[in-house]
Amino acid sequence: MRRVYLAAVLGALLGGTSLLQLSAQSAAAPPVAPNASLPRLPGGRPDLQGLWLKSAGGFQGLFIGSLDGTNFAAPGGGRGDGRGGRGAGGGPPAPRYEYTPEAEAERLDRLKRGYEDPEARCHLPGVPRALDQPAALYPVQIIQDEKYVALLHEAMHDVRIIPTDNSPHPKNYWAWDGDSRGRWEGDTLVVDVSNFNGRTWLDMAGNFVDENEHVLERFRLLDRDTILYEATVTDPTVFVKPIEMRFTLKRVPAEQQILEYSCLEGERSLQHFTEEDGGKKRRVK
Amino acid sequence: MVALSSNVTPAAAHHSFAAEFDFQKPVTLKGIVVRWEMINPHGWITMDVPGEDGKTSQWMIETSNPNGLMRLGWTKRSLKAGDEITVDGYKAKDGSNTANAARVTLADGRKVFAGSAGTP
Amino acid sequence: MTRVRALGVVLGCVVMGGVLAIPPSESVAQTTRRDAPFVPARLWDGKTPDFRGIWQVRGTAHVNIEGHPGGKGLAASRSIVVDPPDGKIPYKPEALARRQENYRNRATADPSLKCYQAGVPRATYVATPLQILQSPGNFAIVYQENHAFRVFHPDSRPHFDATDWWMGDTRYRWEGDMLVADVAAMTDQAWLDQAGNFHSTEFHVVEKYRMTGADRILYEARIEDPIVYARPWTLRTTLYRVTQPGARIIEDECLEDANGVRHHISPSDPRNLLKSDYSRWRKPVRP
Repeated sequence: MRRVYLAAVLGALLGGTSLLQLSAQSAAAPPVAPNASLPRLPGGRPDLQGLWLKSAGGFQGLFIGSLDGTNFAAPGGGRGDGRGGRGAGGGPPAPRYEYTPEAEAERLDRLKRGYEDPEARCHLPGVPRALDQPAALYPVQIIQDEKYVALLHEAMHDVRIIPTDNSPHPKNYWAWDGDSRGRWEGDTLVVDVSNFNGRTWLDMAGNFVDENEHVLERFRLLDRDTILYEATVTDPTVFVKPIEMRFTLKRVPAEQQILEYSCLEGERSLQHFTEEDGGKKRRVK
Repeated sequence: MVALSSNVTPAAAHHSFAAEFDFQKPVTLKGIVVRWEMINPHGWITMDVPGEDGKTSQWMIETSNPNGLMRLGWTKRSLKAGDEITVDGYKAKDGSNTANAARVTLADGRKVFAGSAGTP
Repeated sequence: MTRVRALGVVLGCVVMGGVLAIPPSESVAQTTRRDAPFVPARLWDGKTPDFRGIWQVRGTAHVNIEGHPGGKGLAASRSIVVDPPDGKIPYKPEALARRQENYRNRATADPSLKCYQAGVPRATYVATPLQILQSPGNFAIVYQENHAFRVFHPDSRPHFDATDWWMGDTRYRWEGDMLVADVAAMTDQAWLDQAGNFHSTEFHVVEKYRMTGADRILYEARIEDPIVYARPWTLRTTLYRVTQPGARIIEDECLEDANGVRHHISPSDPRNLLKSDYSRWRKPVRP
């Protein structure tokens, strides 16, 4: 089983790249100049397609698919990103949130009202939260052509079909995921997201945005198996400074697949929340 | 035989642990599976637990997100009606027969982690 | 031939020519197209048929796939069940009784009322569009309704049936220019329409997608469920390309009202916007 897992990982990493090329490139820092070894679409744009997982580093013992007709898990692999904590176990650096004084009070209040997180009620996570899922559990499938880059998120079956024609945002439009307009700047996909409806939180710890949120995202394929994701979140009525986020998405072995996450259909936890946490039930001592 | 890995922690997004369950009320429930629903966002095991008084009570056991469990090898066939299991977890704050499963021990003695982030 | 008779012959020919020149009806057109099958454009690999675009079924089969008389501004619909020929789903007797009960309770029991995903094949013919996403080796459908999506996997590997899914598990292959998709592992909680037509977890669907024109996809679903239906049956309908400039799949989420009833609220609806309420945010408390 372990040999097969290793082979799958190596196979995914090497792809069509020769061993010689790989060893030569691994010595260099991620290049800024156009990288000739990146997979590309016919128009020349880097091919971002595949199944990707936000990862603290490496694969966390993921399921690698069925060999004998049954589903089984690969043993070993590193542990996850920690129990929901950002930056634990060597993960990406935690973003800094610098709130206005009124928004800080609101944020501390929301921290006590964590059950009100709209994601707990199966709402769309918004941007960039859909990609910034904790502990590397829910992958995202990217499908791309010359006109759009589509992100199909496992979490909440969230979908963002991003046109890459730098078209303008609509008026009178307020959405959970906002409105995304993409353009290529060299080998970087730049996405401008606005038109949010002010209902999303940034995480489970009460960090939030309002309807004035604006996000500028950058997706850069560093190598065949790594996308560098950077996001600048501004919201002048909530934060005094923009928030910078950065993490990598690693390619998931080809044998894996995205799974359905049907949240509303099976949600049964909220009914047990007690009054002290804003629920309907009384706490029994 | 499906291998159920127990050495990887699926630290799932779990909003409700602190709002729903009580760290101060650990519970061990030994009983029979009535139903195993592998649904999102949390799986649910319905189990009949015989009490010391001879009466049987039915419990609803909440597991972590099934997609993570599936990637560890769990399926809807991993637990069948009639299976004997022992659940170590924490009781719901609202006093109902609801618990969060930190660990499930199967009839053959294998222990499987079934809880989520926030479950000690 | 007298001149009058000649005129009559000429007029007769003109009329006949006119009749033959009238654009053929839907069914005749399909017969004509079947004689000369439409050849779709290809993706950039030069071989995969290109089904990309935004598509939508017309008509109101989503109300009742066995047909319904319409009313209250709702257009009537004929059955889209093409086999058996009487247009009725071949339920087993006890299953038919359950369908009748679903029908009586449809105003409250329809899972779509709770904004649950529509399932397969219902998601194909609901009243909102879908988008087919493709690239060589990738095929997925995004449904506007409740932002459901299905990634179609090559049928070289078995169904991922670790649990029962709302949108099923789909394994597909190309048969010439037709996409054939095998769908299994579906929950028994989804309905086939608003009329309470239903299935068990033994539900199994073979879908066929075939472009019959630049702007039409003929959709067929062969359906079987040995627990609920006495025999397999087939439904068929057409997806039409949405051609308005700027057309796209719109985000679709539901909001719960004070009574716990969920409503689809469009992003263009100002009720979707939750404006910051700075008066509600407490002023910072100095320690």
